[in-house]
Amino acid sequence: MHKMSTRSVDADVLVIGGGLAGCMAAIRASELGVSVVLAEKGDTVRSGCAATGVDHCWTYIPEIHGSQLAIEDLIRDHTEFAGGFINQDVLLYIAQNSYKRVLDLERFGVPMRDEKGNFRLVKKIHRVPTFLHFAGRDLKVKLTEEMRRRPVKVLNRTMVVELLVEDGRVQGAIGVNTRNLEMIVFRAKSVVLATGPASRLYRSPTGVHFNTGHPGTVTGDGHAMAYRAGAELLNMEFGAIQTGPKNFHKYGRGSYAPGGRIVDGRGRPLGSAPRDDSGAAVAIDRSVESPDGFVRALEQGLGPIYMDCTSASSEDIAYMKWALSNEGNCALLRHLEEEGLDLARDRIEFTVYEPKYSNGNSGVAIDADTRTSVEGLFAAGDCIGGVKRAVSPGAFTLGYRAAEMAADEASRVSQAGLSSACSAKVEEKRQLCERLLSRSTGPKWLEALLALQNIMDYYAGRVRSETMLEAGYARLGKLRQRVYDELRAESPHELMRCLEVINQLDVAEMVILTAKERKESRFGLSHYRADYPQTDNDNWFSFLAISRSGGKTVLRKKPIRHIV
Amino acid sequence: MPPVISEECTACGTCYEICPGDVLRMGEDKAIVQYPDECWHCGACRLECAFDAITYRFPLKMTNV
Repeated sequence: MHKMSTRSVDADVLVIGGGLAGCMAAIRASELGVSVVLAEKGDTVRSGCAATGVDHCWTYIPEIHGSQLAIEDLIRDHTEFAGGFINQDVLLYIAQNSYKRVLDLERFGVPMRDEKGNFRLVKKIHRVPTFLHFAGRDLKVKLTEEMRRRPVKVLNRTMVVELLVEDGRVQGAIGVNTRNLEMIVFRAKSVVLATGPASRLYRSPTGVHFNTGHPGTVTGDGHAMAYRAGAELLNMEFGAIQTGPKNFHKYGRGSYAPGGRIVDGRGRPLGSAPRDDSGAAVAIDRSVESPDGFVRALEQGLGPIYMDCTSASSEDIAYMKWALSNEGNCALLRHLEEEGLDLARDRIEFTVYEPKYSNGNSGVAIDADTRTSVEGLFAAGDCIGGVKRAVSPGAFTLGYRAAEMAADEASRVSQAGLSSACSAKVEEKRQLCERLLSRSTGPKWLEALLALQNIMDYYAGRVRSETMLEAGYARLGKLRQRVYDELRAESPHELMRCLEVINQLDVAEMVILTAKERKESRFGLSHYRADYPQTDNDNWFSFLAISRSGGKTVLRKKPIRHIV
Repeated sequence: MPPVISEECTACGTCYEICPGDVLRMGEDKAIVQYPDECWHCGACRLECAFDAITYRFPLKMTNV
């Protein structure tokens, strides 16, 4: 039972993660005369954050936006929204290429326009409407079909657990089958990391563990692997905190528009009206409807807080339901129906969700060509850092670019065998897996996860300080030791969950160490230091990068790259 | 929310194939929910089931949204 078989898989380009970014990368790479392998922990048809749909992609469409908005102004608006913390070179690449990728999706059979052939554009964070609403419920299905039409080798149920790096250069990766006892040794000339956000580090407020806005499967595997491989990550101190339906956690808050407004327990609006005087749908007022606004309102006893669509026109209600059903909220909508609730008639209680590290903000540092600080390793999608709200356009455009870079890299590198150090790493990983599988007593993965979540909730949650983070770090170290010494799995599935927890320990370490280093408060709930309650732009208007070098963690400030 | 597999299930294996969280397994004549507590409520299994064999029962903590 405990012995794992091994097989080798060679590729010019290995794509890790089969979400939006990974699929786009594999599709593009397959056009460039290189062999492509994509490893996905679930199944690409319904995996990742876009499992049952994504309904929006912000984009710059030259023939529509050209006369209304200079692309540099989009960059400025986006940067302002992100409080200045944007690597604008990467954002510019995304903006410039977003429309090309929209047209790609259209070619792949995703309906990007309405019945009249027009784009549905909505105003959100940029000064003119740039958020393209589309029928993306089956986007993953279409991307999978596209990959099947091409020479892409997709390995589903394959969790990549370690990058193989020698002298700062990627050589491949180690994968583990989640349903059979099999280890896969990937040798690749270049690697695209597209593993999505880091979630489940904090307790879901409902107490139902997998009731999280992001899928339960996005555990920051790529964040952890990149860290262990020596890559730099940014913004790991800034938790992304969102709001949404109280008991059924789903993102897609932006899809409750137009016509939805946040109200307090007395029905008074917390934020702005859903439409401005001209009748155009307006962006939600971020300051009062932000998570911070919610928490303030709750602390003042103004709750419960509701999303109130009851004054919306029937047209707007239909639109919202359409948008929500394409934004992966089908199950939510059906659940509301089955509970006898209707957006048109009932207010839906909303709350603040737990933090996660994602959104293009917290993750692997890249340049505008998706290069990470490890040679041959490129990153795309929600696992990157430094571009808050890169979201779906970030996945599509950077996935595409990463493929081009990886293919180019592969054409210049000869396939060598694995170095002896990398082979030793494979053996080490296999022994770890077999050890986890051979124990007959001891804690299973959920026990370890809950202990980790307790640490994060308590020591690295809403109120951070030097002493709390120090204590949290000490506890994390002790938990890590016990996880290695005691954790057990009884099946390949449980092994996958154990390996996720092990990754989450590394993500937690990054969060705690960067939160401790950034001696200021910034972005409200995202990073609040009670011992440094002010924002300190003189010293801290910069990114904080974390990486590992020679077994030690390195923290350094990195300038934020502005170009407009 | 554990999916609930009804008698309509023909054991075609589609839900097992696509579940992102590997929550299901195939029994002899129907799909079985192996890890109900790991369901992420994405709704993919119900979307993909061609036989309408899947409904959901939400835990009490998640009801009355």
